[in-house]
Amino acid sequence: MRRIPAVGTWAKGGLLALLDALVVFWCVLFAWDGRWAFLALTAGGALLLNALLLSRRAYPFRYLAPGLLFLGLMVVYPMGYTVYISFTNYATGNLLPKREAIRLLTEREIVPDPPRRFPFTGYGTPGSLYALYLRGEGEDYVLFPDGRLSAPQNHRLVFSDGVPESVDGYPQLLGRDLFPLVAQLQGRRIPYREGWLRLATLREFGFYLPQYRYDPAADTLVDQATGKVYTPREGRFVAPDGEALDPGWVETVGLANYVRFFRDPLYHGAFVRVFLWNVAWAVLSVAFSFALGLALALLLNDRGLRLRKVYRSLLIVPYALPAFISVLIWRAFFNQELGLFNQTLFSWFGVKVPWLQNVFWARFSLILTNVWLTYPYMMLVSLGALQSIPGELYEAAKVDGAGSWRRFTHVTFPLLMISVSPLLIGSFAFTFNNFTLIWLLTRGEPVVEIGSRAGATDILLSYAYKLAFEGARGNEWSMASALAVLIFLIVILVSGVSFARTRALEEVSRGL
Amino acid sequence: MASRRSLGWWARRLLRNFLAWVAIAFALFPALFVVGTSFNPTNNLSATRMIPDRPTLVHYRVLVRDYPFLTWLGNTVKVAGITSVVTVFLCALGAYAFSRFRFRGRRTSLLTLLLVQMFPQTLGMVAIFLLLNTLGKHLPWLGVNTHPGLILVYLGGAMGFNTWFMKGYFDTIPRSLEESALVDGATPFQAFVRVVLPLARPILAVVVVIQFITIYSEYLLASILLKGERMYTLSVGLRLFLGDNYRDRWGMFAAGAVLGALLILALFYALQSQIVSGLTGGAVKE
Amino acid sequence: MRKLACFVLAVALGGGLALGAEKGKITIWADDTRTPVFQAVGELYTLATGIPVEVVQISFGDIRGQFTTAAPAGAGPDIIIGAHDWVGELAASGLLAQIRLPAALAAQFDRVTLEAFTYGVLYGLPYAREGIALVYNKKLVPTPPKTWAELLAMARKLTDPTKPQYGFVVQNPDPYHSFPFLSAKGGYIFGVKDGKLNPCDVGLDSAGAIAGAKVLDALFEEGLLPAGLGWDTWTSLFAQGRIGMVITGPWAIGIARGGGIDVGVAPIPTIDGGVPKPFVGVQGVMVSAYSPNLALVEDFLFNFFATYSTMMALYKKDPRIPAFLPVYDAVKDDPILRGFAESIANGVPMPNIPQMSAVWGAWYDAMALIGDQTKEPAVALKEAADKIRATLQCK
Repeated sequence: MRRIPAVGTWAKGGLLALLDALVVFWCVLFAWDGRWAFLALTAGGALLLNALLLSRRAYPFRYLAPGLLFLGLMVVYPMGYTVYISFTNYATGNLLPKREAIRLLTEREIVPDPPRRFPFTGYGTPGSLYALYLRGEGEDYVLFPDGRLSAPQNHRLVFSDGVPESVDGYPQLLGRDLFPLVAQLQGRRIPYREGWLRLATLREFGFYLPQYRYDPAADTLVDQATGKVYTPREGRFVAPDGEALDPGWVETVGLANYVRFFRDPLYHGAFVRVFLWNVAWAVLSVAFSFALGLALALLLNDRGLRLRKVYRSLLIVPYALPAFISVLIWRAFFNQELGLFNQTLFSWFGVKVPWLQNVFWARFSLILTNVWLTYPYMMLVSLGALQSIPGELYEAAKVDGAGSWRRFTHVTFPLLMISVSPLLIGSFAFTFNNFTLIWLLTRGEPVVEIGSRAGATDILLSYAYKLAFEGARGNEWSMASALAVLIFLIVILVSGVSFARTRALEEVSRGL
Repeated sequence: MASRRSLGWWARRLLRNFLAWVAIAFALFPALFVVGTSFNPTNNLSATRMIPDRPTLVHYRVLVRDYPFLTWLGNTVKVAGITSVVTVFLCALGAYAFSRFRFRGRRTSLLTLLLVQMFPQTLGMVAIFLLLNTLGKHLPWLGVNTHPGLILVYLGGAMGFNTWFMKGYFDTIPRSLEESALVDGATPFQAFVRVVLPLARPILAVVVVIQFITIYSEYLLASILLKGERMYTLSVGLRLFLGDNYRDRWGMFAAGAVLGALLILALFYALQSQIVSGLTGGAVKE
Repeated sequence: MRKLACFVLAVALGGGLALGAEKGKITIWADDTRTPVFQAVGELYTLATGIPVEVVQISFGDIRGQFTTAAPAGAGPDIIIGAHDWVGELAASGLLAQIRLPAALAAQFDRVTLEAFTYGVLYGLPYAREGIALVYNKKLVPTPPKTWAELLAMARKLTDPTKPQYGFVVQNPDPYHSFPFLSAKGGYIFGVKDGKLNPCDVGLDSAGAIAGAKVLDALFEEGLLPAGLGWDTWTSLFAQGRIGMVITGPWAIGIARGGGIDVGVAPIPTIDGGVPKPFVGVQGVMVSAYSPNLALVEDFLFNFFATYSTMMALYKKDPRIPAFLPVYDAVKDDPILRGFAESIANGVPMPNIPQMSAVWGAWYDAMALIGDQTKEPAVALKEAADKIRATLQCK
């Protein structure tokens, strides 16, 4: 019995040593290749792994490490990225790094007047291109795949009908033999006079002049035709007369996006109104849906119910359908003229409810739809959590003469909340930011005022979306990110209140 | 005495069945409209009725014949299946540590876990795409447009609210059971695998189902990371039929949604005996 | 062991990315309707040149966003299909490559469709155009009205909300569908300066726009048109034969016919002598600035895409009005197609400059509040235009 762990320990140690050896081997290779980022990552990872497996104090983290690793990579890193973007000007027109923008601008071409084209023929063996022969009206060249231009007289050419049959002994390639090889020459700019030659089509090279030249010393761009000088300003090249060139580039702007939010009433004008509805929306949705889910879980946990397996399966149907279609079906129900609800109400009672047109009813409709969408989740979770409640507790309560309602409030509910309350907080956070549902059902409508971008049912996230993507010039991802960060801080603040309770719950559970 | 009690028992039984059926009606009637749409030849959501005028199977036929629908279904099962099983394991590991060990940083980790999940993922998508794109340049099987890459991304959400959920459940499992295993010479990990996990079966099953459905219906990440119709998961594949303003083909979408929902229902039906097989107690007893 | 290490190393160090555009191969992102056509043309191209063509199916609504993310990362395609109003945003961000269309080929395209894809220079090759017209139920409206007065007279006769039956409807609130009204008397969105749209000249509250909005407002006031009439609602009514006339696009024809309605299409009636100018939407292909295959792509587009057979195949797959004139000439005898073509002959391309993003929301709000009679057209449009000016920050 004692030997087994010993063997296990040795095996573990051996494996770790082997892995470490491999890591060292890799690191050497990475260093050789100059892939320093990989070197750092691999070495850091290995060190962390060793610490985890060798240190006693890190023992609990052995259980946490795998999950935390994925969390860090796929949740925390994107979070950091969002925060970073919120400090930049990342938006339509400013998506690329500066060097990319400069590259695109300096590669802008002018076709000289008159245009010059060089039809070509190719030479080599199938699968390998030796050279091209460019015919430029008395100015012919031999062009090698590496971009070298050479005068025809330096080469052995056998002509027939004005076109070489072979070059340096290599025969002419045609059609499907030639095109895939020629395609590899795309993107190559062969310096020629004051511009360059490049593959224009599969049969011709063309001569092009640059529209702009970049002066790295002055960090300016000069228009070759007009001589206009563009200097960088706010992420774009701008001429003295105010003309700005597309594309611009990404640069950090410090707190500018946040400042804009607090300064410009367009951004924060409706914030409080939206926030209050947002909280109400999340709280009411979660409360109703949990109440319904829990009630159904209790109902269906009853062993006496014959068909409960079937019942349960049918009840999770809303969860199994894509919200994308079911929400739109609900939207059709709510339609004022032809919706199922109003047609029924009208034929029975002669009334029509302005489901999505009136502020109150639009909010009501949203919550109703969300309860339908989410109660199966609550039911599942409650069903699972119910299984953890020891039966003896009920017996004890029964002996004490507690009725079923008292048993529920004093035994079931408190115990259930231990495991379920974090999920409720999670649901709250999810609902708080449930952009998709709002977007599909009401788009934030009904409209309250023109151009404030916040309708009566907009939540902070949909409001932020409208602010960021109905901006002055296409999409302002940087502003969207800043708003996302602000919303995150708000959600934390609101949820903070609930955390105090989870601590209390944990104390309760420890007593068990 | 006995007959009176029996009468109340019957009344209750009836009431419970009645309530269950009311709830089922509430659950199903919008769903039936989805089914109706899938049989409706007009492809239009607005003209939807529960029973269309001229029902047709054309959407189902086209879906299976002209589109790699079964491949999408297979991809979904693969991605969602692997993700949910690995998630449940990672989650349980974490929850066990949080429940059983007292260590520095425990409370902080728990709190961070909860907070981090509340971040609105608007632009995180771009970061994830770029990360995976870079990863793919060095490990092609793990890059953009691979299923392992997508699974990797999904596993990022593995530790989260579910860890808390499981931790709560583990807290209610008496420690005495593991302690006796430890006395017998098992390592804590062995005790976890052999004693705690089997006892936690209901919660594991619940998390598997929840996670499976979440991944099954996840659209945004999958649509950004997967390219090419043979790689698509169901939610991305079906979205091919939407997106062109007034030309959305709801009939096709609904047909796919119905077939997908049947899969989910089958999964749930199969797993639910695990969910209610709580070993620690009989729960609500009459 | 060494084999394993080699394998691990190969995996760890090796490999490029198969997903994005590759040099020597053309990658196209298309929606599922157009994918088969591009696949067929791609096969022809491969046969002729030996160069492979891959078509990736993506939901139309996702193409623009995913292209924006993927292209700068080197994971985008060479060619995307899309709508002309994406051009401003994508080109301003540096993601599109200029297309130098030879004059002989340019002459074969409808002029407006090429203008639509122009943002400084040409950034796309169109295949279809579309817009809205007056669509009518022939049973209720035997001959379409030519003037607004005629339309009103018919609408009054046919409308009976208790049935319900409506003589004339138009989707509202919806900026797109309200533009024929605003433009009939000279209203505009952005003014034109030096042949380019000028984002500093917002015409949403110009006298013409307000006059047009009043015509629309009068319909609500008189009770001829119910407020908040969405796509879902009116298409159902139309398919049931409960609507006489509607301003809509070709996309509604199928639904109406599904209900057994015999429909006709005519230009939108003149409003006090003013000709309504609907927005023209144009679909086409665009080329990525990050394509490593610019020469191949031009070759492919000019010699295999801009051809009668390809354009005809695209038309057959989804019958929108062809932008390629030889194909248009071959199919223009179709009365429905012709009706729409006549209507949009008066139209203007939907503005393609990125500043349009600041317009839609405020404009929508204004139309919503006009529709439910909360605000007068002059007030609502003025407020909307002021908000737009404030957002665009023009001095």
